[in-house]
Formats: sequence, structure tokens, C-alpha cells
Amino acid sequence: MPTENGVLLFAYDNETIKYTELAKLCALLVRKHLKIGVTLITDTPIEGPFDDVIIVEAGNSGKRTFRNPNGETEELTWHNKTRPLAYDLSPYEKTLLLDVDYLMFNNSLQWLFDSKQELICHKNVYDVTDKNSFIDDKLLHWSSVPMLWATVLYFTRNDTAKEFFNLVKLIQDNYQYYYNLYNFKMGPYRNDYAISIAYNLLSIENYFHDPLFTLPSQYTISEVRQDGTIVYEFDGRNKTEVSYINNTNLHVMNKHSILEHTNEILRYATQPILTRVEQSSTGEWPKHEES
Amino acid sequence: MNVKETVKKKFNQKVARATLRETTLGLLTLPYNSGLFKITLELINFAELMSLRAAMAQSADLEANPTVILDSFDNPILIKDPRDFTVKLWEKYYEVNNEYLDKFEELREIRKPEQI
Repeated sequence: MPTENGVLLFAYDNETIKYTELAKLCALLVRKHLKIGVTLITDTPIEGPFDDVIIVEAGNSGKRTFRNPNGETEELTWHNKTRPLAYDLSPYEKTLLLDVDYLMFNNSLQWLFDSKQELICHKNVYDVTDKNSFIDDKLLHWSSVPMLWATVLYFTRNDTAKEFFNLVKLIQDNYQYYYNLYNFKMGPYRNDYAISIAYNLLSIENYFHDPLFTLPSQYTISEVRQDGTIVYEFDGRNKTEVSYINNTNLHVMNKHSILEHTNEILRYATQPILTRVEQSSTGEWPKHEES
Repeated sequence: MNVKETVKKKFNQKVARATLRETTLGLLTLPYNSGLFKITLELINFAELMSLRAAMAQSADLEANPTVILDSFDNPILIKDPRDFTVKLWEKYYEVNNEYLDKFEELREIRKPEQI
């Protein structure tokens, strides 16, 4: 019997990136802000802040080139082929499927569980360095369909979601065929592409209105503060530039950078939330109090 | 971090402002009765009018027609209590925009990375 609401994570370690460690941080942040259960899908038993750990073999995995901040690239195994099983594996009635590099710093996704949404994901991405790094990721191909992001995908257990995930599995099994049909960039299997095609085939047009705030892989986090501020660095004209984002969910593509700040994220995730106790309709400043 | 590395870093206020604006816009939403509403000045105005009509009907011992508003996903949402809806819109509007002003003022003062 599925339980009501929960978050589903997939994490398979590779040669250099401990995705399971990222999953622990992600789960703690989810627990802090959404206060719901988290289930992890991985290939080895693991202890952590999860309600349940489901063991599923990674299967046939591809290789992907990751770009590092020092300009070097590394080719690593990319275990992403079990993601289309999310519908079958989820123990929840309403599931929020998250990438483990999505760091949650507010509860803005809470509304999903009280809504009548059946299936929703991001179509727009916002590069927090304002460099528009994802300009080539708006469409699968210039004459093709919009590219969607599988980083945050919410679904309710019903026929629409079931059909959607069956289609994603079909696309995965016949990736070469869909590559020819949609003309997207060839490479290892990508869930972003598969869900974009499935959305298109089912004529679903349901997207988050706000963009997916993303720090591209070549840039780094320099600090995670206890007030929910993330300070990050990126290349400027002649200098390294610094900026920050506050209390906003952030997709950090540089996994190493997240892991380097494990202790700061842990400290943030385990401290109590500052909540507003008084919301004023007269324009007064809201008061803060520790819960 | 050595002095050379510190000197080489620059705070990019333009990027911080753009990010702050985008994140604020994302927060200007209100989940209500299973719908999600983007808080706009137009919606607040309409909600105020709806509340006024409900109050007028009540004062004349009549029952106001229940109002349906399309949320930001174009789902029809029944607003049973217009006053409650309007108050919640205002609350979220003030909360988000006051915080925006607060953070914006803080941001204006920042010139160097160490001031963040």
C-alpha cells in the first residue's frame, strides 16, 4: 500500500563522485524543508537519513564527460538508466523525484502535494552566473521540441504518469531511433531528453513557472552559510567573480563542489528553521522566531 | 587564501541583483484550494473587488455567487471565501516584497566579496 507523499532519489557512486553522499545531504535538506519521507534507490545497502533504501542494480551504464572548474574534463561512468523505473519503484502516492545535486533551501515545492498536479517538471533553467550557459539547451534540436529538465519531476500515481514512464522506458530502449527522429545531440542516454520526448508524444504541457536555478558545472560553491546563503565563484573578464543566492533551491552541477562543503550543508540541514510567526497584511515587517 | 587570490576576486553585483529579482518573482505565488496563483497586481485588484461584492451581498442578506478563478495552470479554482483569499494574497505579497526590499538594500551596500 503506497504511503501518501515522499521524495525519491537515485544514487549510484562512480569512480570519483560519491552520489550516495550527495543523496544523504539532499535527503536531510528535504526533511528539513518538506518534512516528508525520502526513499533512495541505489545498488549497495547504505545507512542514512532515508525511510527506505531499495536496492536496484545500475545495469548497463554509459560514460559521460564532466567538466571541472580547472578546465579539465573527466570521463566517468554515468549510472542513470534506472530512473525510468521511478514509477514502478516509488512507494508513494505522490512522488517528487529529485536529482541528488538539487539542494533544497526553502519549502517552495510543498504546494505540489496539496495540488491536483499529475506530472510536472522544469522547462526553463536560470543560470545563476547570468552567463546564459544553457542557451543551447532550450530545444532538443533547433527544429525540434523543448528540452525539459528531469532534475525535479513530480508525479501522482495515476494512468497519465504510468503511461509517461512506460514511454520513457520505450524511448530508453530505442534511443537510437528517437535520436534519428528528434535530432538531439548524440551521447550517452540522458533522462532530460527522454522525458522531453515523452512529454511531447503525450502532448503534456505542464511546467513549473519558475525556472530551475542552476550553477553550471564549471563553477564552484565557495561557502554555504547557516542562513541559507550560497556564495559561489565563476569566471569574469579578468578576475574570478563572486555572487550569492539566498534561501533558494539550487541545482549545483559541480558535484565535487557540493561534497567539499558537506560539513556546512550538514550544519545548515540540522539546525532548526527560522519561521515567520506573523504575516502582516498592513505592510509591517514580518517577525522571525526559531521554531 | 593568500592576498593575491583575494585581490583577484570581485563581487559581481549585477549578477546578484538579477538572481535576487528572479528568485523573488518565483516566490510571488500563493497555493490556495489545490491551485497555484501567481500574485499580480491585477489578481489582487480582482480579489479585492470580489471581497467587496461578497461583503455587499452579505449586508443585503443575499448570498454572493461563488467565484471561480483560473490559477496559473489554467485550472478552475473555486474561491469560497473571497476575504480569506484576498488577505492571503496580501500577506504573501507583503512578505515577499518586503523581504525583497530588505535584501535589495543589503545588496546595494556590498562592494567586495568579503562584505557578503
